[in-house]
Amino acid sequence: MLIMEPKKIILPLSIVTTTDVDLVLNEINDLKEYLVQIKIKNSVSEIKLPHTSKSLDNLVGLNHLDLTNLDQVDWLKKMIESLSTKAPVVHIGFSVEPNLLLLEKIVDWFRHNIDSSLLLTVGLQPIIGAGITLRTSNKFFDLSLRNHFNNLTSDLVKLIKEVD
Amino acid sequence: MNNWLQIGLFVAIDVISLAVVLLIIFKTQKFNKKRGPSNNQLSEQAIKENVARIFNDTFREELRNRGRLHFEKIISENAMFLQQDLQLTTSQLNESLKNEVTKNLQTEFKKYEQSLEDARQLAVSAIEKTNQAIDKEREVLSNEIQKQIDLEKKQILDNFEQHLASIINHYILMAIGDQIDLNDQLQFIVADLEKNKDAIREDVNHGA
Repeated sequence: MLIMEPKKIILPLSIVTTTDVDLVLNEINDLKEYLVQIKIKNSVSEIKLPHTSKSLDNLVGLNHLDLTNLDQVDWLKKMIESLSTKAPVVHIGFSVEPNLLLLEKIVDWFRHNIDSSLLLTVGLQPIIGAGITLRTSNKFFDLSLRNHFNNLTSDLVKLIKEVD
Repeated sequence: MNNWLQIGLFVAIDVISLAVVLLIIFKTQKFNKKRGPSNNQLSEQAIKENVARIFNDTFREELRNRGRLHFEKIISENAMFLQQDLQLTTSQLNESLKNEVTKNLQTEFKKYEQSLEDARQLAVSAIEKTNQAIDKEREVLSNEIQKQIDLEKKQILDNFEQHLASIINHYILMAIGDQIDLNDQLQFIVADLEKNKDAIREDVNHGA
């Protein structure tokens, strides 16, 4: 069995959150079970795979995997399980519900600049007005408009006093 | 004084007349005693007759009338003088009494005025002291109120400044919150992430 096993899995931009990872993992488990059953029957030469999600398709495509290969599916499962427990997770708070395109751009930045396996959890914080809040395992980054105004408080007070 | 002098003069004339009559009688009796009992008896008889002849009833009545008239005159004059004196005395007494009463009243009025003035001064002094105390108290109270107002104003301003960012953020959200699109914010979000990239990377790679 000579498989070009990537040392590290490449996550597609469509897998953004830990929920996405869990969904893909469930899908892989189902797929593996399906493949095992096929192997037990050992009667079909050409395996017809069930319909898979776009996230899984992208994941397989990026990592050049063959889903009909049970070993590769096993490897993928292990990697995804590992990601599910060990991948760095960053929580981002938005003022409104973000669209998928925006999330993909942000996660792309994180994976290029911070960690290639980084995942997000998304929350809503309407009071921040605009911008985001970011919470890592130990730090909190307030990149919101509210915090921007907070930093400008002395200047704003000075401006108000000038108006008076 | 002249009335009293005249009265005294008339009384003195009467007394002298009576004394002369009594002296004549006394001398006559003495002379008769020196002549002897028989002569005395005669003389006495003669005297009595002479006296009776001189001081008969008509003469006595005339004397009595004259005396009565004179006495009435004197009484009338004296009554007039007495009335004048009485009027004068009454007038003087009235004047004196009036002066005395006026003097006493003036003295009492002065005392009363002095008492009133003292009471007024005392009241004015008390009122001034009270006013001063009230002014002082008002000043203290005013300062205290001003201090409280300044403190409260400062607290309000501090509170406003402290929550200024939230207030502005709130009003901006109220005004244009619906028009802020996340896609428009992307470049600012990425710029902020770039600024904090090192800190994020540090915490993600070594924080857990």
